[in-house]
Amino acid sequence: MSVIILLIGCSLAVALLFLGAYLWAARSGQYDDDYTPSIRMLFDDELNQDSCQTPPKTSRKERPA
Amino acid sequence: MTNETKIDQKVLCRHCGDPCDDESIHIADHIFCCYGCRAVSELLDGTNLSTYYQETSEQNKSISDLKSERKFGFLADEKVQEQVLKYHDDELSVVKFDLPGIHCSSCIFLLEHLPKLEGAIIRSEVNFIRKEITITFHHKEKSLKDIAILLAQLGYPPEINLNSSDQTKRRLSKNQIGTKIAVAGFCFGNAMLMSMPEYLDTNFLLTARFKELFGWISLGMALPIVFYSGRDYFVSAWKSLMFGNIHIDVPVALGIATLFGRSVFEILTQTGGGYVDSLAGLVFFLLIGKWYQSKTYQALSFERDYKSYFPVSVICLNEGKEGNVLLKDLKAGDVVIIHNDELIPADGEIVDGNAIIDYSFVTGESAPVEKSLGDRVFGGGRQKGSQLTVRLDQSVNNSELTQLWNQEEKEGDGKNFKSLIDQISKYFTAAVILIAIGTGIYWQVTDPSIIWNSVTAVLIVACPCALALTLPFAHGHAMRILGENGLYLKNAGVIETLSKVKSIIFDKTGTLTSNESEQVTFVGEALNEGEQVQIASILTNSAHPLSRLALEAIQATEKKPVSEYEEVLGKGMRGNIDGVEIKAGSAEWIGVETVEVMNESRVYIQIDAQFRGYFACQSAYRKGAMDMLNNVRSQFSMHLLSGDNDSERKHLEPYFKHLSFNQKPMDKRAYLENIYEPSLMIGDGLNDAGALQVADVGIAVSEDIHRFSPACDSIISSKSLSKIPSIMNFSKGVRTIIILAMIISLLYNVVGLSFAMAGQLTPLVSAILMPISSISVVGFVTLMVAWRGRLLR
Repeated sequence: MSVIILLIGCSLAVALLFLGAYLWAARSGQYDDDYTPSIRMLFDDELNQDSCQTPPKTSRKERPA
Repeated sequence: MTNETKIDQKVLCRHCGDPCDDESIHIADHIFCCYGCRAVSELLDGTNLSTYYQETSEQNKSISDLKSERKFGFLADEKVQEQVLKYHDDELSVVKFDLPGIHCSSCIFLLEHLPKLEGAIIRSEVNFIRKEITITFHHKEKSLKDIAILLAQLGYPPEINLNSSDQTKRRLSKNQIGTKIAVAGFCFGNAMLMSMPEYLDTNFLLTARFKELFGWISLGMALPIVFYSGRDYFVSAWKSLMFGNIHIDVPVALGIATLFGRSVFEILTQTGGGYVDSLAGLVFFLLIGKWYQSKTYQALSFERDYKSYFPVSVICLNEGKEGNVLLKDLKAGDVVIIHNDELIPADGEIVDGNAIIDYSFVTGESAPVEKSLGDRVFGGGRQKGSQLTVRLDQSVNNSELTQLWNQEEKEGDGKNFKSLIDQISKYFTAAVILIAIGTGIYWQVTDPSIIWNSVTAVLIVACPCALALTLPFAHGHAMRILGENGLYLKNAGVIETLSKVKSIIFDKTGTLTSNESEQVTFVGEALNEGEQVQIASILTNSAHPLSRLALEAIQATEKKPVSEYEEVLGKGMRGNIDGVEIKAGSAEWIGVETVEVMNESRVYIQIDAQFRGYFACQSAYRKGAMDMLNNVRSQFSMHLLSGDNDSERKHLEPYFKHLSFNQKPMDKRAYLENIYEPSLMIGDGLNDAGALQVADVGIAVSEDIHRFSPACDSIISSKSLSKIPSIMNFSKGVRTIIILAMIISLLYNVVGLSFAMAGQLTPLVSAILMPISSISVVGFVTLMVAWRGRLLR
């Protein structure tokens, strides 16, 4: 029966671990914004490959679509 | 010819498919809901990002540059930077801006790709819900000002408020409740595990050693529950006792304390397992209710005072040099320069330039006032015209018009009415204590051995968990439903006050009538394209509000240079384009007969000495406004408070019992103070700010809920104004639901009490009764409110 003591110890330790993990996540601001990341992950990285770092400042005319 | 600048509500954005509002953007045949969408669409069309970056024409760009330069000039000031920057070292700075312009996922795309547009920016991150952006940048390459200007050019002018410390405070408290719930949930789960043997059978495989161990672990769970998670209930119960004002937290705290006391006693004396599981469950559910109710609209601000509308700084003339001075550092005697469309910060005297000042912002009077050299102008007016130089004779806080909203808010806003639950709590607490004493006396006589058992059981079971959960869930859910229907409440308590309202007070300008959807039509012989271009070219030069309106009604593809331009204040303008003389202005200016038409202003047009017609600008009543008035008229006492003259009296008389015109903001406030029954004020601008505060419920009408609203209890989107009657009925329905739920939860208490008084309340009964009562009441309330809310659509 004394194995129960060990088991209780383990279960409490695991539970405390999760509590700690939640508290850490909440403190580090992971729950501050629950919407934007869901959109951010959909952005395609490929698109940026051909864009230029410093845009040329020549043509300013409206591009007819 | 009629010009259709107004866009059909059902027009969808080419990119994201969202419906476009009035401020949508047209490029060739495409329509976009926001700048982000347009930008992304252009990207997808195969151009590189730079096209968007320089989308405006050379000339326009330089003008807007100059404007942003002025607007954000104050960001160069080191003191300001200290306040605005979140972090900075030798290399990098981090800044967080509020961007009310963020609208859809395309905006996020554009804003998070700022590093591609501007090399100095290393990282940018958007918080969509809060409409915030956090930018990390090399401040040596680009200054804070440049970053703000860049954002403004992209169509997201940052809103900078130097005293926004309240926001961080709010966030902190939200975090704390999350932590408390986490701790309570952890203890709840584990305490139940420890109590499981107790539920099943007291002799179930348990030796005394295990019982003791489980007891101690349970006790360990109880400590954080009572002293951390449940702490607020004790504090608030203590406060309420101090003020002699018993509310729901008193019996709750009493219940928590008794549960804890009895559990500690039982565990220490090893007479039983204690009620730690019930205790943890109680606190856990109560906290969830609290959290549900406290969820508010993060991106909206209900606390704005006049300072949020004023610029952070103005351009001050000091010994012939122009410089930015923070608004709070302005003093009497300073000379400030006001450009077109800028606000006058404080009262003063014009020393240079002509003014057309629009006071609608502060007084509600819609017609602009003309002033010239030596005239006095008042803080809060908006200059519509050329550059103006003003010598201030007051500091900002002492200006005549702004003083109105400097008055401190009366004590305890909205506390005129005790909430239903607080009214009940007083009797509830008294009843619980009487029953406990009665039980004690009864057992004292019959069987003194179980007297403590039964008395504590009464206090435990009487703990109004279900009752305390009724209100947060009913109000929290109702608040969400109202939010979906375009009414955004500051807090959930407003619903209850709303259900008691007896009289409704309406503002006219901007509330019943619409500011922006003024209908502009051209009356006369249709103009051909060339003529439209000519008229647009000349109207562009004038800052007069009517010229602006007429200009919007013209779809001109280009602008031509104007020669011999001349503008006479209050009359009109003339100029030569391609050798043709164009005149635009009043009837007198053109030389035709003056006609006065109610609710209409006209801009007459003459081309090449020939009268061609006029633009008729009508201030229109909002769609459905009259139907709405008709619907509420029979149930409420109706009042109208208008800052305008009484030209509309005939029109409005059938709908209102009391009509008052020419009301200054002060008058409006005073009027509200003299209404002694529960009142609802519906207004828009700052001119209603005083009245909105005094009213028991103040609802601000806003075209764009994220942008503009004075301090108030709730914000309603202008499109939802017609829903006011059903919203009022809904609030009453919610009240009925709450009363029903209260009766149910009281019944649970009665059942529990009968167990307790008989001395039969075992931990098992308590552990079952408590969650069942709470969950069933919460379920009942949520479903009923949702069902009632469907009638709103």
